[in-house]
Amino acid sequence: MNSETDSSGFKVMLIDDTEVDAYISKRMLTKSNFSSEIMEFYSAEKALDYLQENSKNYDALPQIIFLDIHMPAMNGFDFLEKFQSIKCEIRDFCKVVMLTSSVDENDVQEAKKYPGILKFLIKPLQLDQLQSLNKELLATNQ
Amino acid sequence: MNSVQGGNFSKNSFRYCLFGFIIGLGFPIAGTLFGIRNLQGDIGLAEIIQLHLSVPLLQIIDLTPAVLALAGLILGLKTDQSLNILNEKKDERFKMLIENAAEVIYITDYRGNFNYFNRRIQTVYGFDPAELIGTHFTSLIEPSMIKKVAAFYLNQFDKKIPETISDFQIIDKQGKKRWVEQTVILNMNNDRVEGFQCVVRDIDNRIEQEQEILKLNAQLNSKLNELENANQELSAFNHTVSHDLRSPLRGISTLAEILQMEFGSDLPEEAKGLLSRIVTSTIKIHTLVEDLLEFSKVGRIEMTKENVSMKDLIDKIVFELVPRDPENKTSVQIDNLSDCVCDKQLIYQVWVNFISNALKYSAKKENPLIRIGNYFKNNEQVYYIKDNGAGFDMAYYKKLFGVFSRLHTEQEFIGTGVGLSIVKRIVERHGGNVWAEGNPGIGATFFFSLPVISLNEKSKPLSKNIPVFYS
Repeated sequence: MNSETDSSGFKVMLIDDTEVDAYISKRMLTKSNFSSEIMEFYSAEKALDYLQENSKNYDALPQIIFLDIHMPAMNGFDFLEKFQSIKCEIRDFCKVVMLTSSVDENDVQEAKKYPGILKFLIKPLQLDQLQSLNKELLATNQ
Repeated sequence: MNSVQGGNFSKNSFRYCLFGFIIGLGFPIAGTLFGIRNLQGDIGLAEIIQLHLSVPLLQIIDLTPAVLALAGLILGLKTDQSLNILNEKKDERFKMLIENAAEVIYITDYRGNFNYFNRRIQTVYGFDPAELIGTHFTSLIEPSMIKKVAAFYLNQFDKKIPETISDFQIIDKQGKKRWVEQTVILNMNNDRVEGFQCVVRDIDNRIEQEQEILKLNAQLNSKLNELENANQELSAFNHTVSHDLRSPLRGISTLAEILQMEFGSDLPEEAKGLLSRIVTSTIKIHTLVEDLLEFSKVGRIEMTKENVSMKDLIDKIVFELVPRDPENKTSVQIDNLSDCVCDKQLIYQVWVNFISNALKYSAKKENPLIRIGNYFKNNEQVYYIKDNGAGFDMAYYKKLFGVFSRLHTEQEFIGTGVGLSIVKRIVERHGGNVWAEGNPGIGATFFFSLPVISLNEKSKPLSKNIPVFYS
């Protein structure tokens, strides 16, 4: 796990097996000041382990999880399925943003089964996507 | 004129007996008795009471069987015979008709035993009528079907269904199975079934042809399925490839942009140039991949047809695509357009492609002019869009609608060469055609046709509802 900290922004977990995409996402997250801290995972299993281990430690939990859909072995939807079985306080605490290379209507429908999904973003992340997401989050929090 | 006794004898039966009288006896004498049969087949007796200007006046006498036997004695004939004589001439004509009919015609009693066959049974199935008379109708039926066919006719008998048609197989004299279509009319006497009158049409060729057609249809369907599968696989492949290409492409362009923005000022001039070419190339591939994805999508998505107002559709597109500022030189003329039943979303895409092409290729002209029109031909609505733009050389016409094929260089007009293949795919999915006419430097006209269909057109049933008995 790598961590980068910043004075403002959200605590973010990034789950993406594609190195280039993850690098760009991380860079954009930092550059846009969206994130104060980035926990980076290349596999959904490891991310899930981390969440389970820290299910009582709110300080260690991310506020937003950026989750890639298409990953080998445990994919984004498998992750969501398992994530449901973790205690509901974490689920309410951690919101999920789905990352995908193109928005497929089937994926959108599939994601509707799970609560707490904020939106779908096309990866690699772009600055403007993060800026508008930030605005939406601030608006809902007020 | 005549007195009629006994309610069973109508005027018709009177005429019948008069006819029989002249034929049967040759001359009229008052007091002569003769047998008659009315339309229901009841036997009676008539007496000539007097002659009036050579026209015999008859008294029809209702008879008990005993008196009838006596009448037979007087006439010196058996009742059956006397009736035969009386009816001979008239029957002769009907008999000729029946004997010479193209179909096998036979009559059975109520038990189903044959008691009459016309001569066709000989020519078509090789049987001598004499050898079949008295046998049961099931003796001709293909053994494995007997049970079902017999049950069918028993039902007709029980429920007194006046007429039925059914298809089954019989065995001819040579032992060959032949398909027949049999019409069976109940021979009723009051409320009692006396027998069956049957017309048999040989449909062996028809059934053979039908089965051949069914076989060919099945083959065609399986080929069609193969083709559809191949097409779907290809589409899926296209989709996956374009899909998977998209993400790394965006990666490259984003990385190049980061490099350009954050380290651009530190780079030597040549490196800056190289970097900007990387960015342009990636954008180009990216557009191409997007177009390919679109191309694959229009082949796969399900179509929903509705009545579409072409006028409204085009007005909307023109409003979106043609700039409305005073700088705009392009004039778009839209004729009266007929509505059409089609998939609105897909045909929208067709027009977007055509109209943006027309705008793009005529943009360099002094007075760009686009005209959109429509005519009706061969049960198809033909729509066209004409521009006075760059046009094209008809020598390269074949390349016009192909994927990735372009007739202009990137320097002249940008594009990926996918737009018109998308158009072609959409129109062909609607059962229509696309074609074009071009003249370099003068302009181009693009046409597409859509078959006129009605939304509530229901498929017609393919066959009559006749029970077919298979073994």
